[in-house]
Amino acid sequence: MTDSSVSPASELRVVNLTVGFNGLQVLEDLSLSVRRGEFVAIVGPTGCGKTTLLRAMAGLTRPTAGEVWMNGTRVTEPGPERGLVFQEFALFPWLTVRQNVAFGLEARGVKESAWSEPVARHLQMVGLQGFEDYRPRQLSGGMKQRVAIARALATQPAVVLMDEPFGSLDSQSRCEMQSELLRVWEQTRSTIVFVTHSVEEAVFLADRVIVLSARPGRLVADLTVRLPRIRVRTGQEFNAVRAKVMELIQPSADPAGEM
Amino acid sequence: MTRGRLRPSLEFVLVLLLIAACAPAPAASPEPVTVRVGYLLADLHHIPYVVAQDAQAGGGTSFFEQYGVIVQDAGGAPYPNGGVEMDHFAAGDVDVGLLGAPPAITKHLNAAVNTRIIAQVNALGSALVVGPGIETPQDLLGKTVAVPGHAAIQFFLLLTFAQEKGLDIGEITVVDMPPPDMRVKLESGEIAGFVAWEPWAADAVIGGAGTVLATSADIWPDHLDCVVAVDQTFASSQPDTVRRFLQAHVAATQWIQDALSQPGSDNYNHLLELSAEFTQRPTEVVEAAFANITFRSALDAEFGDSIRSYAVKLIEFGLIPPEKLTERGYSSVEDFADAYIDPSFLEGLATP
Amino acid sequence: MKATWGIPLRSEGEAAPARRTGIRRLVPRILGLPSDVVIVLASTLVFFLLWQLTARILDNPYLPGPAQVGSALVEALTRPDFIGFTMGEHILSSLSRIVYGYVLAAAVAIPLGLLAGWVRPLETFLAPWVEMTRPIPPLAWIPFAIVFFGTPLDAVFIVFLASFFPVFLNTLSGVKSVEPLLLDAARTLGARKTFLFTRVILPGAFGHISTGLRLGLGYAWMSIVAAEILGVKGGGLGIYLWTMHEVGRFDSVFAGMVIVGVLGLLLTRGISFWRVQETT
Repeated sequence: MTDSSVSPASELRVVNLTVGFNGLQVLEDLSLSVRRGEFVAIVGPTGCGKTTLLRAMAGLTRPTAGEVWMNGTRVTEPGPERGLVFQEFALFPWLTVRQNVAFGLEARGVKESAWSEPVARHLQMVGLQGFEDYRPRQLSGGMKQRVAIARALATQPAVVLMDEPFGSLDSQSRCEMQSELLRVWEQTRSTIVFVTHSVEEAVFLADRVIVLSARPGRLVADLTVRLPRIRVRTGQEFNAVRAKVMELIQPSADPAGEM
Repeated sequence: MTRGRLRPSLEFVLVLLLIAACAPAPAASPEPVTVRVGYLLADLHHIPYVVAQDAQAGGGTSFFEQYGVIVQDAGGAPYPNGGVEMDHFAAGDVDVGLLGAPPAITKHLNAAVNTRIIAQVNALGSALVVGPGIETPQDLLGKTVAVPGHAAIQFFLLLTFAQEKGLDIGEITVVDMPPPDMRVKLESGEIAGFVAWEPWAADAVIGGAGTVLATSADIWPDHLDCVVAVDQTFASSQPDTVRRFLQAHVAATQWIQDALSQPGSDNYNHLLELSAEFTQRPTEVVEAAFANITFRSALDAEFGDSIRSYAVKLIEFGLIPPEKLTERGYSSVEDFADAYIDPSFLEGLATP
Repeated sequence: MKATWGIPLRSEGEAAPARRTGIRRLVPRILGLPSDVVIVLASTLVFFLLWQLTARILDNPYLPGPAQVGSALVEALTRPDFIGFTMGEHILSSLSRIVYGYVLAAAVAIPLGLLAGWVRPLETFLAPWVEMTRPIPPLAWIPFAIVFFGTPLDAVFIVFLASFFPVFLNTLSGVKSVEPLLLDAARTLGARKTFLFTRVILPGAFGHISTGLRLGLGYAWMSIVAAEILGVKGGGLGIYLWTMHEVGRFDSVFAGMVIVGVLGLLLTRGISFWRVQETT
């Protein structure tokens, strides 16, 4: 199936997407598109369906209505061109770091002789050289998420979907990981759709910030962040964008209350 | 049913008590004491216990009644083998019991069961019966042979037989089961042979299930078989009751000897009836079985020799480690036999 | 997976649960031994003291004391018994019976458990059979086994029954316990059915399967000794226990029980697989 109306620059498109579980409407008539190489962050109040949107993009959750298109092909199941990074890391505990990162390549039938180089390169990219033979349980949270990112990148997906990947990290490793992610993104130039509940994180990272409403999730705003990187979190302009996004999420909320 | 007969109902006991109270008391019998008696399952050797309870055999009142003894089956009795009966002695379930000499010796020495031998019951009366295909002792190698238990005289006879014939007992699979089950297992081919007390050997032969490879007389001529054992605590607290029990036992044994010496007599026929009912076998089976058993109650010089021989052989076969003798406080086999056989009750018998 | 009885106290190389540290601190380090070793030694000592005390109070050869059992143990290990079997022969007999039944049970239970965990209707179909058969003690089948199988297949059948259910049920729950998140992750990485099964389901269920195998072996061991006592015949530890009981050698019975216990422990410990760590 192809969509003739797709613009060449638009890689991932969500069209009139509605998702419900057992009569509970989670997403309602949502449409958005992501261009190639773009870093898009999705924010919204708790339970607004951010994760559901991401899972629908990944092909893990079937829409009730509407559709997801990837490069002109309708998404009906997971595919290696859309990598997913989970908040809970979802590493295979019985595999070493190296084997985890190689998993997607092996699933596609790539032999070790062929995957050892790209795996090593991606481990290097996330700064895990020297930890290749560790098991996930031996790593800190931040290191686990590096493995998960390297694993998602190793198959060279066109789009990397990230579901609150730094949500469970302490604030220091969180900041560190955000900078690392930007560096990796610069290197790979892959498209990133990044779900977070932290407005600060969204504004720090993304080219565009998509704001969803409370359940059922609808599109509230689509803001382009025109600040040069690397952004300064304490800067005046940064705070202005941040306050605006906060206002959009919860019109009455106190911006200082946000973590 | 045999059990019904041997377990007097409450009414029966009450009637007995009434009779005992009204009838002129034989000898000087005070309050009758109930004796809990252990014996083996459908073992024809133990027919004296049945006869002593029978009114007709006693000439109107049973021998036990005549001597002022009330008997009751001990808890769990009848037992599948003498080893189990010794366990019930140890548990305090049995006051007086009829059982083979080997279990009485083995469990007294190995496990310090506090018993004494006070009389004889019978000699001989077992046989090694084999199914089709077993013609020589060597044919038993690699086969399965059933015995009532490993402490039982039948296993002892099998060990003796194997030793005499130069067979390695380790190459014969010995299983234990109650003798009434053996014929069926022999017919089904599950076992190649068995050693059992009568009437189960005669039953299998008459029923065509097997043939006798060796009688117990072939294995050990005129060997001692069952004895009367008493719990030592009971014996010291109730010596008079034990004596009266033995009086009935001796009388019953005498009656059986007389009956068997007069085939066709009323007593002979009555004995066959009692035996058939006790073992649940046809009269022709028990009649044939009686030919292989010698009933005798006395503790003579040969009896002491037999007990010593058993002890020596049981130690030789490894069923009793030699150090158990000293552990139980005996300096030698002779010392043990002297202490373990207590003829005092039999010697002090009065006439009814 | 937590430490359970029969599993070494400190096998994991992981920090002990926090609530233990307080108690462990109370135990002095003796001769530089780790405190857990000291506790185990103390526990053993208390066990023998209680045993000795009970035996002395009861003063009954039906409960021999440690010294008598010790010398009976030496006798059992150095002298053939009165049937002419050495202890080694008894042990080999029991073990060889277990091998067939247990391997057969594992060979059926693991594939069936994997399949039932993967294919929902099969699980539903098998559930009534399993639920009805499982509560029946394997030993209840002995009369049936003796008549329909005969020596030595009767023993194999009993061992099969004893070890089948723990292996099957643990395999089944192993498959079902594989985190959906890991399946999602594998699918987004491009894994299809076969790859998913061999690379995620199988290793994900491995911890449960090895637990099932260990439990199954324990049950097999218990069932074979009991089956030998109850009627399955031909030489073996159960036969040894039974014949020694029959002739009143209770010191040897206890020596046999010690051997059964130690071997059971060694057997279940012998099956050590790598343990799957819990995901974060």
